[in-house]
Amino acid sequence: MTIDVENFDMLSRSLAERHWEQLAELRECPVGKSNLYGGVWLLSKYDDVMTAARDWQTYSSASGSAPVPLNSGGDIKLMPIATDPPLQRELRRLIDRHFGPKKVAAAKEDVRKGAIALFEAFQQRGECEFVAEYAVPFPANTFFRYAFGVDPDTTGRVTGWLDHMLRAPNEAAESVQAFFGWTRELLDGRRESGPRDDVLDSLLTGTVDGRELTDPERMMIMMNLIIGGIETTTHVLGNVMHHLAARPEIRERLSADRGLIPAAVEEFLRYESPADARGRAATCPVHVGGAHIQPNDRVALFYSAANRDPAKYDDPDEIVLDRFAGRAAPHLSFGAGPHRCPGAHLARLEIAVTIEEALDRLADLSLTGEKIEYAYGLTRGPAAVPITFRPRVPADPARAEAAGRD
Amino acid sequence: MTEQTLRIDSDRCQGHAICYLLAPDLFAVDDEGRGSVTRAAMESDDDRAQAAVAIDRCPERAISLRSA
Repeated sequence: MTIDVENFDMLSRSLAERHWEQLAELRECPVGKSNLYGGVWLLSKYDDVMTAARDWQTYSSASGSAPVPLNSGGDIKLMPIATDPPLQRELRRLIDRHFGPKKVAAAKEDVRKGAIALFEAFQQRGECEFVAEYAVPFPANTFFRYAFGVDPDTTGRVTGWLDHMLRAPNEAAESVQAFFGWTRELLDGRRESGPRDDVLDSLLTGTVDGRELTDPERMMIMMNLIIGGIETTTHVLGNVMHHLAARPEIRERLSADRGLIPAAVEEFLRYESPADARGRAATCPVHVGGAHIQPNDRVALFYSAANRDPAKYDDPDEIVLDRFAGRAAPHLSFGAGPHRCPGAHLARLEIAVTIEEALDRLADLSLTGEKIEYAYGLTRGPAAVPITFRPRVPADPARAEAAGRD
Repeated sequence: MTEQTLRIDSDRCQGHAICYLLAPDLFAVDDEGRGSVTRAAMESDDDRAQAAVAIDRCPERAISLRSA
């Protein structure tokens, strides 16, 4: 055992580089507490993480869901992620009805058009850096169009401000102001233009606790949705392309059996959760695996470690494409309990469409470069996935027609 | 064999909609993704197999198949 639990640093480069090895060691230890970041209990076994995610009465989100205390340099309280029921439930009611499985499924061809436009921009070159050219813009474009009805042209600057806030929160005052200025314009624009039946309308007209939301509350919800909805999906798409490019047998199996793609999406999500850990604060004394957690102690829920718990999954460190084709324990990459990811269906659609289009358009895929470097911190995913391929025209003419081609 | 009834505990359901995605013959969801049972009595082995998958895969352990 080489891991030093008391000095376990969940934001370190060392964890990013020896990620799965260190998380496996952590999972094999009794529940321990890191003394860094003001002290954080580390839950990494599947059953412990699942129990804590569901039990909001014992594990509160009211002080935020980051596993370590964040110095955001201002009065930013994301909603609904940093609230508890019953307010949390009322806020989620406004959001969830716009991200249910049927409404998302109805957007499938529109989402596919956005994917195809990005593939076509690099396809004829026979090479690209997939993260920058696809995995970053696709979830941003898709989310803004789906959730707010906003043209993708504006999404680059918005994600730039958010990235600044997340990477350098103490120096991001200008970006925070710019972001809130943009959300205010968006809200005012919608007030003028009238409803289009999306989440913005519900934020403008919906009520919580018998009253309308305030504009600052609306902006905190918009920020929460954007932070949760974009970068995480970018990481999953980078991971998926990494495996498609590195493992021809995965491409062959999925090409031969497209019906396996939904199960494969779940397995890719299980294998590498983009949100490594999320945090809670204990509301009462609680005993977990021999640990005595005290009220107000911070607790980190390691979704990524739980997803590879050998107590729940055979060969947890292998990608088993049909693992989720039948009976299996649910993975935790979308969380569980009241804070489960509201955008899960949209994310699943984006991942499935990306796999389908990649299989159709990119032949003889391979990775260039020797080693994938990971962006790390509160989320984790490949910083770059450089690939080469032979461009191929999609085989299905109906799909090409749906995308507006001749 | 005793008759078994498929149920969702609506207090536990958080609207993942996994049951509907995996077993659309047995479950429906509302706009928020919250599930309800559309066929409570198991009519075939296929029903029972679908129910077993949905029970396993519900992240909230909200689904059960019990003797009525």
